Formats: sequence, C-alpha cells, structure tokens
Amino acid sequence: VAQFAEGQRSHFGGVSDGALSSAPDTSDVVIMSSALGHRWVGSGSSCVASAADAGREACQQALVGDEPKLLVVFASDAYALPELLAAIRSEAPGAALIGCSTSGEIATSGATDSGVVVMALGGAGFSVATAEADVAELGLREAGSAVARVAADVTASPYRVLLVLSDGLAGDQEEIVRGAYAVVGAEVPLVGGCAGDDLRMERTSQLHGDRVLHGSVIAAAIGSDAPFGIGVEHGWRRVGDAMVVTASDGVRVLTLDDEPALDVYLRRLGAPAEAHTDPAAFTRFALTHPLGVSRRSSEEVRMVAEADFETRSLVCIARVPQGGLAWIMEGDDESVLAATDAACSGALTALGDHEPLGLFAFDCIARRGVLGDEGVKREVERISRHAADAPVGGFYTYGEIARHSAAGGFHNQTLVVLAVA
Amino acid sequence: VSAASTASWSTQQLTELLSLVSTLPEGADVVQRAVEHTVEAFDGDVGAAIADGEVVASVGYAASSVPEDQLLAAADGATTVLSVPGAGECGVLVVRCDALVGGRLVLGRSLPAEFTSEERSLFRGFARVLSLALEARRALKKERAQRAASEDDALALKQLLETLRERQVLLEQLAALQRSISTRRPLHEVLDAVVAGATSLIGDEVTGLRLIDPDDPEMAVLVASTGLTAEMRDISRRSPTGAGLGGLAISRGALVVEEDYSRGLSPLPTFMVDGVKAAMAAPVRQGEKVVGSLVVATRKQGRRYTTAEQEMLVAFAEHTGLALNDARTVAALNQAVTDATRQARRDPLTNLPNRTHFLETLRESIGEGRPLSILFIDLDDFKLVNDTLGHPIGDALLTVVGERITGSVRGDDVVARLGGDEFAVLLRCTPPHLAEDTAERIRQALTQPFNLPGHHVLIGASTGVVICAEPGDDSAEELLRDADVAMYQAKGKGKGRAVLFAPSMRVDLQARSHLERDLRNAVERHELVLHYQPILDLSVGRVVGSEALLRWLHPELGLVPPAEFIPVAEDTGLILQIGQQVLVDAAVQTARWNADRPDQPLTVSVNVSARQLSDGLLVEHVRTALQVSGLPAPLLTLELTESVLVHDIDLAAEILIELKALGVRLAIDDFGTGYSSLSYLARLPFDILKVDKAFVAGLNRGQTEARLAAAVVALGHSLQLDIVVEGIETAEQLAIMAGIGCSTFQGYLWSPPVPEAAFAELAARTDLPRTARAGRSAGALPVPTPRAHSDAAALLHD
Repeated sequence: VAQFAEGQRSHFGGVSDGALSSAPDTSDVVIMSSALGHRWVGSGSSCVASAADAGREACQQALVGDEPKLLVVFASDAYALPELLAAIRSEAPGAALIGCSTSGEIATSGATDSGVVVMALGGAGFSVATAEADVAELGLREAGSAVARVAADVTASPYRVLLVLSDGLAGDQEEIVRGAYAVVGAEVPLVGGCAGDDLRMERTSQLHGDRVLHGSVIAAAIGSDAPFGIGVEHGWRRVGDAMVVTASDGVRVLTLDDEPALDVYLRRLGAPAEAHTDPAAFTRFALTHPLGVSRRSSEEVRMVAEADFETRSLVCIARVPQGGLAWIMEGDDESVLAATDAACSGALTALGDHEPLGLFAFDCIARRGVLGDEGVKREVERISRHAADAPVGGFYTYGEIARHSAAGGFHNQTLVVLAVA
Repeated sequence: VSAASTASWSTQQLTELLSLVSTLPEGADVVQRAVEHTVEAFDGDVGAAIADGEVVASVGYAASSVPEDQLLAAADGATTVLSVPGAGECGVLVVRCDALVGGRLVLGRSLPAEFTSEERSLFRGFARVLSLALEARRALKKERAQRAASEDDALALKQLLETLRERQVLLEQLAALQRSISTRRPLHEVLDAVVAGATSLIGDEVTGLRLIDPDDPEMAVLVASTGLTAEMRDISRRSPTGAGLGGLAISRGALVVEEDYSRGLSPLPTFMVDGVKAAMAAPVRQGEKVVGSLVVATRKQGRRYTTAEQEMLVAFAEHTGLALNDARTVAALNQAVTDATRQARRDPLTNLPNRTHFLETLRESIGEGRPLSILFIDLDDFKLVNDTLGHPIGDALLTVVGERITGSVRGDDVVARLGGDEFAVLLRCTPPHLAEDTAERIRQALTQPFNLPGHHVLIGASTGVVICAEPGDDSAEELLRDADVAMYQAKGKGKGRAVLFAPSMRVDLQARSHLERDLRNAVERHELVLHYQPILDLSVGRVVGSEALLRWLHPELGLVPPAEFIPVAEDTGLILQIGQQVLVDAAVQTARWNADRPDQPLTVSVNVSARQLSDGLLVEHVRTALQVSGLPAPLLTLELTESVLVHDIDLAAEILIELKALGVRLAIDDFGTGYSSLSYLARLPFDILKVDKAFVAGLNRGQTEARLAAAVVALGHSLQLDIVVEGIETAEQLAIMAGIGCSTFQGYLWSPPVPEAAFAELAARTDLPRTARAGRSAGALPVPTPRAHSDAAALLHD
C-alpha cells in the first residue's frame, strides 16, 4: 500500500500575530494510490468579533480539498451561534456539520478564547453520517444509543469512528458512552467531548446542521479507508491518603470518610477563603483539583464542577461510585505536558504506518487551568509538533470521551487525541 | 499505581457493584447493568450473561450481531478465546451465576488477557453479588405479590422483609470492611472487622476466622475470633487444617452448615463441651485457592440457618478473601500467622514447648545424626485429680509437674507438654545409656507429694523410653509414637513404671490407630448401627422392650465387637458423638415401632458411658432425643454401670437427678461385679437393677451362685427396684431366676441383639409362654425344654 504523500494538508502561517492565513492551497494535495480513496483534513480558526465573518473565515481556511464531507465546529457561545453556523454552511453547503460550544478552542495556530475553530474532512475516502438525540426526551443512555445507530450508515468503510459531542451539564456522561457502546460494541471506537460555556457552567450548546441545540448528544460516524488512532492521558497524580466515598448519588459526592464531602475537600486542599462561599470561585479552584477514583490499572479523574454549599456536597461531571476510594489529585505544568505528549504519541502510534492527516484534540478545561496561558501555548505547540504538518483542531471540554480499548470511556481532566489518517 | 490502590481494588469493585445493583430502580435490567459494570471494572471488551442456554445480556457487541454460539461455547468452556470485532482475540473468564438457571457470566478481554488470581476471585464475587441482587429482587416481587394476595400472611412477609434487610446489612458490613482496609488500618483491625462483620450479619455469638499456615498447610491458625472462651481460643489457636466444620469447609471448598453440631459432621469436642449447638463455615479463597475458613457458631438450641444467612456468609467469606488478597495485607497476614505460630509453639499453661515445637526440635536433632533418646511421660490418674479437685488444681499440678521434669534433666534437653497430662523429654545431652536412669529420676521426682493450694496431691507417672543410637531411619513422629507405645505398655504393667520400647510393641498400636481412623470414618459413613436385644416380661408373655446395642459393620473386617471399638471411642472422645447418635436413633426407632402398637408401647434401654456422663451434655442430649423422637420419657431407660458412677459420685448424682426430672428411667447395669456400694445404690435414683450375666452364668454351677443371685434380686426388691435379668442362655437359668421371683429377662435363649427389622418381627409375637410366678420346679415351668427352647430360639430368630 502506498503511503500518503506529504504536504497534502493545509496549514496556516501567522501563528503568533493572529493574522489570517492565505487562501488554502489545494495544489499540493496529492492523490492517494488507487487502493485508498482520496482524503483530506483541514483546520481553520478565527477570533474576529462578527459571528458571520469568523465562521466564514475559519471555514474557508479549513476547506483545503474538494468534496467536503464533514465540518466540525468548536465555537465560543459568545458568538451568535445561528449566524455563525449559517456563514459556515454557506461555504460548504453539501457537507454535514456537527459542533458544540466551548470554553476555549484549539487550532493549529494555537489556543484561542471566544473564537471559532472549524475542522473539515473531505474526499472520496471518507464517508460520514450524523445524528442527534435529546437527553431530556430519551434519557442519557438511550440518547447515546440513538446517535450511535448512525454508525450503521458507514459500514462500507473498513475503518470507523463515532465522534460524539454532548452536554456535560446534562447528567452522567458515562451513561451516554454505555448507551453508544451497547449499539456499536467494540467495533467502532467512540471519541469526543462535552461542550463548554466559557466556564459559566450554565448552559452549553450542541450544533447540528444549521441548528443550535441544548441538552443534546450529537454524533458523526466517520468511515475511512485508513485507520484512526486514539490517545488518552490525564497527567494528574494522587495527593495524600485515600478517602472512602461513604455516600454518593451518581455524580454527587455526599460524604467522604463519613464527613460532608465539601468540608473534607476544602480542608484537605486548604482552599482559599472565597472558594468556601462563592460558587464561581469554587469552580475555578476545583478545576485544578479533581478527584481520582481507582480503576483496575490506573485511576480515573473526576472533575469537580460545583459545590453545593447547602448540602455540603460536591457535584462532579461523572459518577463517583459509593463505597469506592477517592483521592485528591494534583498536576503541574510538567505532568500535564507529559500527558500531552503521551496522548499524542498514543494516537499517532495507533495509526501504524499511516501518516496523520489531522488531529482532533479534546482537552479538559481543567488542564488549561493548571497550565495557564503560557502553558497552554506550549501545550498546543507540542500537539502541533507531534502532528508534524497535520492540522489540529479541538476545544477545551467539560469532559472527554474515548472508548477505544476496553469498555468504559468517559474521562475527566484528560486530553483525548484522535488522529485521522 | 501505588500498592495501596491495587490493594483494595477488588474489594472496592465489589462494593461498587453491590452498591450499583442495590440502588438500581425497579424494572431496571439488573443483569445487563451488572454485565456492563463487570466489563468496565475489569477493563474488559465484551461480556455476557447466559441463562438457560441463551444469551440474556451482552456488552461490547454491536446490538445486531451478538455471536450467541460463540458466547455459549465460551460459557461451556468449549472455547477460551472470543473473536471480537474491533477488539480482536479476547481471553475468556467464565463463572457460575447461581441465581440464573444454568447461569454463567462471561468476560472477554483483549489478548493477552492475563487474568490475575485476584481478578478471578473478584469475578466470582461479582457473580455472587449479582445472584444476591437478583434474589433480593425476586424476594421483593414475591413480597408484593404476597401482600396483594393475602394481607395477613404476616410471617412469610416478615421473613421476606428480613431477607431484604439482610442484604442491606451485608452491604453495610462489606463497606465497613472495605473502609478498614482502604484506610490502612493495622491488620488486626481488618481481621477484627471481618469477624465483627460476620457476627453482625449472621447474629451468632461465636465467629472465627481461620487461615492456613502458608509454611505448614497441615495447620490452620485462628487469626481473629469473637465469643470464644479463653480456653477454646487456646485450643483453636493452631489446629489441624482439616479439623472441625471449618476444616470441612476448607477441604470441600464449599459452605458447610450444621444445625445439630454435636451429632453432625466433624464436631470439635471442645466446641461440644462449650455447648455449641449449630455452626456454619464458609471457605475463604485467594484466587482459586482455599486459604482458610470463616466459621460462625451458636450455643443456642434449635438454630436454623436461612438460605439468606447461608448466602451471606459465603458472600462475606468471598469478600474477605479479596480483602486479604492485596500485597500489603498478605505480607502482614503471613507475619501474623507466623507470630501466631510462634506463640502456638508453646503450651500456654506450662510455657513449655508444645507438641509441634517438640517435634520440630526432634526433627532437627534427628537431622544432626547424634544419638538421642525420648521419654514419653503420662501422669497416672490425673483425671481423678482434675475431676475431684477441679481444673484449677489440675492446672497447678501440671505446671509443677513441668517444673519437676525440667529440674530432672540436663540444660539442653527439651521438656515439652504434649497436651493433657502427657509430657515428653528429648534427651540430646544425656547419653542414651543414661536414658532409663533419667526416667527413673523423673519418676521419683513426680512421686514426691505436690503441695498445691489447699491440697496435698500424690500421683505417679508411667514412662515410655525410646533410645535411638543412630537416628535417621525413623521420623520424629515415629519415634514419639514409639515412646507413646512404650508408655502404654508401662501403664498396662501397672503404672508408675518406665518401659523401654521394643519394635514388637508397634504392631498393637498400629492396629489400634487403624481402628481409630476407621472409627472416625465409620461415624461419618453411618457404619455404626444399632442392634436390639429383646427384653421379655414372661408374666405378660411378650416382648416389652429392648436394649439398644451398638454394632460396627466394618466394610473389611465385618462386625467389630464393641469391646474392641468402644475403648477407642472413649479414648478419642468420639464416644460423645456416637453416644448422642445412639440416643436419638434408639428413641426414634422405638417411637416408630410404638406408632404401630399404641396399646403396648416398647421401652428401650441405652447404655451411657463415663465420658458422656462427665461431658456435661448428657441431659441436653437426652432431652433432644426425646424431643426429636417424640418418645415418652418413661419409655427410655438409661443404663449406667457402676464404673461410670464411681469417678465422681456427687456429679453423677446431680446428673441422674436431672435425668430423672426429664422422666426417663435409670438402670444400674452390671450390679454386683464391681464396687457394689450399697450406699450409692440406695442414694441414686435408680428404677431398675439389671442382674449381670456373670451371676446368671454361674447358676448352673451350684447353690452358692444361686444364693448370690437370689441375694442381689432380694436387694433389688427391697430397694423397690424392678429387676431385669441379663444373659439367660439356658432354660435351666431361666427356671432358677423365675423361681426367685424374676419375670423380666433378656438373653440368647430368646434372641441375640438383632437388626431393627428382625426385632420388629420378634416384638410382634404374642405366643410366648407365660411363667407361672409361683412355680418352683423346672418341670412345672412352662419353660422350653432344652430341645424345645432351641426351637423357641429359632422361632424368635426368624
């Protein structure tokens, strides 16, 4: 099988000054050998104030080939999202579109706030089908199942992946993953993230076609002639002794070691005074202090989203099982960046001999909290370095999805990388 | 991943699953959710539940393409690898799930799956938790249905609610155990949590956790317990792995339930004496290996273990295994077992090395190859001291004995207390030719009076001596046994002496030890049966009862005479168990016969041994036998020999009065052959005097014997005792005894002891000749002539 030629991807200059790139140069897209259908991936971003302008600009950058099949949009909800969608769709009317709101975006050029990133996939070697489901209507698990059924529409392709974007504020996201897994089984990996709202923790948006939805799950089944690679890593480590989750109810942790969970949490961490009373201050603080729960061979990280000052409990983004052990976790620049490297190489290694066409990054907002602006810059640079010349697109999430080996696949405070070949 | 986290991984997983399944809303697909949770917990790729030959839940396959055949094959063990789209080849783990018909849980994980033994245990635990959850749900459903059907079926409802409550308790106890492990409590607290958990789950007052000593799998150590007396704890601290109900749970690898402890499977004499009435034991596993057992027991009469309780004990034991599985705990556990073992190497009373320790030292000495000799010392009549002066004096005596023996040997010789009143000395400094001198020196030291608090005690000792000039051929156990054999010979020769071992002595002992082993088996295999010898009352002309006599039908040796095996049963304590069984069997059988003859109920006589009388449970056992059989108490006669009574006449009197209070009748057996103390015959509440066959046998010889027999009968009559004459073999004997006013007989003249079926036929006969009470001459008696009585015997034998 012939290898991909280099230089088929579009990339953009002017990284540091934020200047717009030149129009996509499609002339250097090299046609694949006959065994593999032609495929391309492009990425574009914009931070301009007007929703329509930003959408158009990012989309144009992303469209680096003919026959666009799928647009994946990660946009701050500071934009008027309907207008943004309309502008994007006008650039590629035939392509399917999925997307979500964010708490910061990732593009080849770097991380942005209040901006938009568009990833585009196209060419005969890709096939795409999309679906949406309303959580309130179907329940979490069935919503996961419902969107996963689109995977059946791309069965002709030898490689498949289900890209899932969901509302992390709509309940236990593990249930969505289970619902999807029940439909596609081990055959189709699941990857994606939970939409953000610039850390307000109020309402997130999911985008499908020209519509802006809330409390929904959106999925795109992508079929390809070449493999996908997935890498997952969090970079947190345990601090102090284990605590027993003596009472929990789904995502809500009521007591740790028989004491109100919030009190234990604040005391153990020596949280600043304002975090004891102010919900927003607490959320900011908690971002960089997740809980760890133990798994067979590692620990899973649970993002602490809110404090319930009334009941003295903690609300997490995923289930914290009662009777289990929990740790307070910490990370620093070094550990978080080490995780970045690991997630990227994991995804790329999984491609085998295939060169990556593009990288999706679903990066937890909490990791951004640890890294700070300077660190985030370094992180995105690292991702790009791993990607070599392949375009990168993604966003800062409220929870990440990656089910590729073994069951279970909802993560917190983690970087999930999907490499597309 | 730190050790502490892997440490509790599995307990945590199990708790999580339990938590999940017990909080699932009604109507949720528990099986599907459990399979899902299982696959996630094990980082598996696929999983399935099989019931009744069908896949009832699966995870990891696209909904439309569940490979039913492949999963069923995996469930049956026909394949160990699943080929899973997207995950490739997966290794398979399968476990039974009892709550589903033909239930199996199947787990697949990408190769190399490398399931650890901890994971296998956990998987089994998962299946059990799922079963519990399903059954709880069924119980709930049933409860609802029942409530709908009949509001007043309160008892059943209560039981069901109880079941449901019990699950909750299990959950709480598991969580508590989990907590003590995960918060890195010291090991003894973890072990105590296990015991406390089991105690609170099952509600019995005695709980013990026994773990096999990894260095010596023959022995198990009691690592935590509650509700045991200090003495029982000492005895149980280190004991043979196979001992007791806990031992059975270990050897069978399964739950053992015994609601009738002393009559049941493998009871421990100590526990019987302590009054344990019922017990359960469940195996504790690490991976596939059974490493110990969790035992609960109660002294309460009539305890019945519900299925829920049985399951909970198994689940908790399973969980315990997981809890003890992690590296930290295992290390600490081994240390604890080693400590307990070290502690267990000394006899707590005398602080001398115990048998285990002695054998170890002996083994080492044999290994060194230097000449050595062994003394086996057994106190004479120590039991008498214990029985008459009480255990505290007995204990004090043993302590001083230990000191005196130690004072009589050289510094590096080893003195050990083997148990009871047995001591051993390993002479490794003393040259062999001086062994007998040493034995003599010890004997003299022990014959000096012992000044104990409030008592001067005189005892003696019998000693067996083994001299081993060239050690190596015989094992430590063999040498000690030889010394034991020689000691027995010394006892046989009249106590207070030392006997040097000779190989010819072994033969006897071997036969005896085989007999002992066989007897133990016989009890379990029900080879011990009762034969019944009719007792006839010729004044009414029929069989009025029987004496139940124990027979052992040995699979190879045939019928073993009681004289051979009863002493062995007495020595080993098996007599307690056997005795109780005899009581119940005889009572039940007689009640059965009587059901068919309400107007002429039969009595039954059962012999009671000295051991039974002194173990304190006789009254209880008799009461149980009466309850179980429904036999009216006056129809049960207990026969006691004089020798049984003389050991402790006060105690005997006390027990006999209690027995009388139950309403049973008491017979003095073999009267006139032993001490024949008239005072106690008058003092004890006997109803019947049995004239021993020794008197009867002498009747043919002359007038003296006849007068003796007449005197015994007259004595009986004057004490208003009923008379039963044993051992009538000839018509002449019958004539004489009838002539002196006896009418109730038993003997070969009519029938030997016979199996129950044959006895039933005998008892049904109504054509027995009546005696003419006043008849004096043999000719006038309607007694069979020698020719005729053989016919009568034949008739009765039919």
